[in-house]
Amino acid sequence: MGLIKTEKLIHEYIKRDENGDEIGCIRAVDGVDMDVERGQFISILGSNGSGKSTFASHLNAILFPTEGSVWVDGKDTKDPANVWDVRETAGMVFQNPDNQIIGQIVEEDVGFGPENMGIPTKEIWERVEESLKAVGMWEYRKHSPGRLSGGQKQRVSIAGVIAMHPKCIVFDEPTAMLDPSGRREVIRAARALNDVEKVTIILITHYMDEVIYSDKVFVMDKGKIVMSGTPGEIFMQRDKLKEYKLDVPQVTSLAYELRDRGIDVPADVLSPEELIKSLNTIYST
Amino acid sequence: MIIELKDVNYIYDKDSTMSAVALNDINLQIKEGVFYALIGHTGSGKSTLIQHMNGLIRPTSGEVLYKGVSVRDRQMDMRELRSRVGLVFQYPEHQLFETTVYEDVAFGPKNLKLDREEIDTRVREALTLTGVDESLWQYSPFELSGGQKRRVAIAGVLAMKPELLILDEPTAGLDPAGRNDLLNVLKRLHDTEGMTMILVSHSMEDVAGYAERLIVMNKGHIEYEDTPSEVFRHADRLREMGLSVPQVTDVLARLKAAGWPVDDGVITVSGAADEIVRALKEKRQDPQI
Repeated sequence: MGLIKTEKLIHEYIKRDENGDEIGCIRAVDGVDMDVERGQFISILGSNGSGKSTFASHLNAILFPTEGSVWVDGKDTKDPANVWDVRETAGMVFQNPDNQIIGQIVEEDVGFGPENMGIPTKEIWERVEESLKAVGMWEYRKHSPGRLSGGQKQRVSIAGVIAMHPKCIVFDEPTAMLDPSGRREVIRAARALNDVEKVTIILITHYMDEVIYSDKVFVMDKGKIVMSGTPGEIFMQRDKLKEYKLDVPQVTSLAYELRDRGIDVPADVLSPEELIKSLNTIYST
Repeated sequence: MIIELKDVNYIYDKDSTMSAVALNDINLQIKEGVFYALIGHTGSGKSTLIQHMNGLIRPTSGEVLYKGVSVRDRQMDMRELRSRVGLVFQYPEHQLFETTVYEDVAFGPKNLKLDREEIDTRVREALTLTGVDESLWQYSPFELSGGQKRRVAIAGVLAMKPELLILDEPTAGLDPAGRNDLLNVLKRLHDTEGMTMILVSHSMEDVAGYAERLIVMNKGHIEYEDTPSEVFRHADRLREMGLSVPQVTDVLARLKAAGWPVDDGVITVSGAADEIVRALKEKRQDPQI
């Protein structure tokens, strides 16, 4: 079993009237099977309403299955005895930087999680230092979080999660509210955590160019997984992605168009570097 | 010209120890019927700037003129100004509050004290323009999807019949299809209704696809005001400012640096494909290039 495993996961949101009687039901996650190995970087793409955020919230026991099961490091999330272990194993970073920070000073905010875990004070400070350095925010440790930029705040949130030494971090659209440099910072931090510390990363996003570094990409639609594969495999299926209201990175669109015009670049180009390399090879032959 | 800013400065909390200069020596003309985009790193002053345009914020020094009249002038009717200059904040669905979609959009026109028929006409027009189907008009706004809520919120501003529509990151949080749909609505409003637009955005690809002119802010100054093509030639400078260029422009800039005869001011996929195909042909004919 991988670090994260879900089997036939179903989640229904029940709509109730003022008397508490059920008047409607939305099945947001409709039978999802997923197995994520330790150390992988996986991405989940999906249009608004596809169920990806609902799915993500099961991974650190914010939501519980209506049917089916979720195991985090072998522990069933439905068992109340496991909740805290699950939340220590799988941390979560959300979309809005302002909603996740509670400390008056950066280093206090980062220490909050470990403190709640009952870790000895000396070790808390060690973890705070290590986490802030990991995200490049150590020099801001005495700053007030309110005055940081969006990207900086998100990095502080990430540090707060890392300080709990989770085996896995789930990022739920972490860059949606950030400017280009903020987005780059957050994705760079996520990749570094995966490459260097071997933290398992699950990234949920709308930005096609952010998933190109993943080991595997899943596409969700109407609560189900409808596509899965490497980023190259996924982005070769542009028409299908458009059906699911998604798209491909702009540079991949350019590769498609060049191929239509008889230029033999690979169909699974994901980054400007790859395209340029292949064009230079074509020119020199 | 609709709006002009002359030597505008704005300082937050001027007389306190926490004072911060948000706008520094701004000179800008917003011309009628043009589709502008406004980009800049977080904290560069974009939100402060746009709030000067409908008089929500008054400058610390300098002048803001609406059709030649100063916003500070006693004769300036603020209600009139705010219906002519519509401002849609980020995550506009947070402004929705009425019991039905129809009522929410009618709120603005009602405050203008228009008669019932006129209100009804405006609500219908606004909801149709933003593509909200009539079958949804009696729903509670909170029952709609995120994308639909957003359109209703924008319709609420359109019902005021603005000449200038300013939108702060209208596509934030929307998926690719949602982004395209919304941007096409804005394009239609500009092309067929002649509305002046200012789109604040972090997506260089969106900006390149829709804007006629690009205003770039950096630390409270205006760094560039030009066509997107011209602005995106300054890739290195833009990156230094925390921004970027459309991916295809990045490709062309790097090819150019490697000696390819391509124009790095091209900002669309088909334009970039044209450049590369042409350059390959030229190189094949004359390998000396």
